[in-house]
Amino acid sequence: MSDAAATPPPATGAAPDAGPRDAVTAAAARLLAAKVPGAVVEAVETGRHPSLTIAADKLVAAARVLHDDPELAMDCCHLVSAVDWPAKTPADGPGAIEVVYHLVSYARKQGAAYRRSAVKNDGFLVLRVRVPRDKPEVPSVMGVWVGADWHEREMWDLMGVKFTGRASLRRILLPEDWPGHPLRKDWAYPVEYHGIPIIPPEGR
Amino acid sequence: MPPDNKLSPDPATAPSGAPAIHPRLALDPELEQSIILTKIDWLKDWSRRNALWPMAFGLACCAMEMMATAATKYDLDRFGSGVFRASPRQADVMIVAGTVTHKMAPRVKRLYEQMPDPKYAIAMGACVIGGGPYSRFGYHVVQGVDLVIPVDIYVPGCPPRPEALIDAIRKLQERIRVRGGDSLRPDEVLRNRERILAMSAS
Amino acid sequence: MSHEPVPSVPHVPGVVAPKAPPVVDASDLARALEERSMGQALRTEELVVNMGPQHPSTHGVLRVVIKTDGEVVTALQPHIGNLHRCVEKIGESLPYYQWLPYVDRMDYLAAINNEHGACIAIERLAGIVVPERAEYIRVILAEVQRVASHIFAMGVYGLDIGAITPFLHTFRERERGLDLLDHVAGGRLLYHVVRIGGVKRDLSPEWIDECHAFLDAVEERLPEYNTLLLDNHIFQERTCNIGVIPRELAVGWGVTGPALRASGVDWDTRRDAPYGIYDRFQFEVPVAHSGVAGVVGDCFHRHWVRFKETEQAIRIARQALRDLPPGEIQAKLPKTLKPPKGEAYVRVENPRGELAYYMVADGTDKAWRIRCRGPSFSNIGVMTDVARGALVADLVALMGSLDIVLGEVDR
Repeated sequence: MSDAAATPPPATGAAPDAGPRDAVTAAAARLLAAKVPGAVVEAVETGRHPSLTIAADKLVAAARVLHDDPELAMDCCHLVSAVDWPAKTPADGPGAIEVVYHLVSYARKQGAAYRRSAVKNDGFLVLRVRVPRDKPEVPSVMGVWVGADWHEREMWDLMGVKFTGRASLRRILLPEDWPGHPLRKDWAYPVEYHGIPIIPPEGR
Repeated sequence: MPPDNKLSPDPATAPSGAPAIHPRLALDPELEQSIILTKIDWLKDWSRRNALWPMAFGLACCAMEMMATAATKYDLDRFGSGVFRASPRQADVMIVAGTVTHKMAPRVKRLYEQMPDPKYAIAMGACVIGGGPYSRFGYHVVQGVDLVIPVDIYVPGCPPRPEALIDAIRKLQERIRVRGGDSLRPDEVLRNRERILAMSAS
Repeated sequence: MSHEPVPSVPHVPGVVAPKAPPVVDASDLARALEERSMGQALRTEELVVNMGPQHPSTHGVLRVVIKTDGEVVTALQPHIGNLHRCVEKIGESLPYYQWLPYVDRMDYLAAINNEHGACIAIERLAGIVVPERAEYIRVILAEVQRVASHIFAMGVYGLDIGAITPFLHTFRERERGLDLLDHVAGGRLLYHVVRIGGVKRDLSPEWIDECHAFLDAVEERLPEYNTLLLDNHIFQERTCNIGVIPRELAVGWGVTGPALRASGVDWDTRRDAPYGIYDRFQFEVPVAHSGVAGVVGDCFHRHWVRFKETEQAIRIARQALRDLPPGEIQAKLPKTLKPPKGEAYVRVENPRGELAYYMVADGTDKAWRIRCRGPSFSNIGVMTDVARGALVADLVALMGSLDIVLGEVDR
């Protein structure tokens, strides 16, 4: 691993730079503070990367509130991604995997809050969930946004994030018996698969 | 053939093993004009190479160029190869157009096996020849479809232009003309693979 | 042993003729036959049918497992991944400059739109300002690509539901569009012409004339395609009221692009969250309404939106050609591009929907993480819910109307 491996996620813990607040993120933070206490671990409302870090066990409740709220009405889960942040040394603990949700509202797109926000963050509300790398379990939001189904399956397939509380979590892109999760930073290329040889990157 | 023809077909006087033109046929100038005598193998190969029916087997980007080759401007029908069959059982040549992945490889092999003999395969595009741009970091891409099925003709390019695919069809026709229409022998499969590896190493 | 009647086949009045044959009204007979075929009298066994990955109308290597009851689909499960080409892993392994050609190959029918989005994302990470002329050239190329992609989709949709003629007609114009892009980029299908900080090649005056001629030709031909498809009675029969995606379902699944607008959602990223210089152009966003034919959200409307969008793409391209300013086409860039730590989420309007890139930079010349959101990925997902209760033959109409490209589904 390169020394960049221990770089912390940019938005989390970064000093919020000056600038106007992101209206959507601020509204969501206020709403969650009132409806689901303890859900928001960290709120970054200004700067280039406004986002809310959510506690993993409160994620589904928070998602439900954001979806049902008539003002925000986050009716579409645009993308579920996961970023691998392995620890620099073993002493630093297991490292973390950050699951990132980009939410967007089609119902409220004409709203003034949306317009103000569209300048900065394209109207997206960004939720982050940080889980330990050796036990990456995140509750599924498939019950709230049905479209998250396939994205979650893909993140299990490629990154090995276990989404709990959903019907089945099968691989979606790779074959069922594929070794490991390729987007993990410590994943090693296999030498063959079902009798077909694979020349690793170093040999090419 | 005119209806008042006196030369009705007679098994006893069939031209097999006889001189090139039977004396009785040579007598009738009209018949001489309308009958071609040839070896049955030549006739078989001639008809085979001018009616190569490809299987519509599009995998990725190259499939778009394969469609363009069959469509308005390039019109693959001019070479007898415009009859794209959806079923491998009706096809002669499999144009593997696009990237073959490890998930797809068993299916490619199976489709090839479903084609009736003699059968040919054209590897269209860099991905199919040796993994192409994905060969280095693409963990899920098979580094050459000839690891899975025997390949007759390789068409380089990413994607190859329609002209290149037409050239490949012409090359395959030429190959059938010179070598005969049978499928590749195992030693030829190995030699193809070795030549491709040598070319990619140099 | 007493003979017992088979319990699962109930007696249907009107079909089994009694002793004295009554006068059977035609409507009675039709109703009775309908009752039979709906499974009340006739029991059919559930059959699992495998469609693809080698199938002419799955648009590539999609595999769909269908459970059927007679001709009616009771459950459907798409299986993807047969074209997974590891673009995200390659993005972590190669420098930004070298990763760009891989973007083309995701949605291989809209390579320039893909490049456009990827370049905007990298430029936003690195804080690069693109010269004016390059921005205009990007828009021109992107809209020409959109026209080529849409007319291709229209022709192939005809092919899917049994009309070969429109395919040959649309390919004639598409070849002209590809030739145009070939002249500026040197490739017919995959271009790598939009670069970080600008574009590779400038447009010559001759090219601009040729582009105008192409746009005029397409505009002239559009009514012809219309006659062949939208106005065609057979086409309407095959597509109206088929595969209806309600608005809530479309939004919930994350369906975007023409399929979303066909479900009645008034949203176009180019207008509502403009990227590049799209806020400078006048164009309309076609949204399905109930006044055309069929119902909002059916296959017909998806095709209709695509048709209308082609007209608007021509309009945007003409405005961009008119306003094209002189000047540089490439910003000055360092030899190795090292964007500072940060992240970017950029979405662009592709012909198939919203393509989005989530990029995390760690300060080196390679991205730490790149995640791509292919629009077709979400658009396929909705099929699981929509296809239930449809006929097997209509499945092809539904699949074709979503206009999926497997390259960006599997990436």
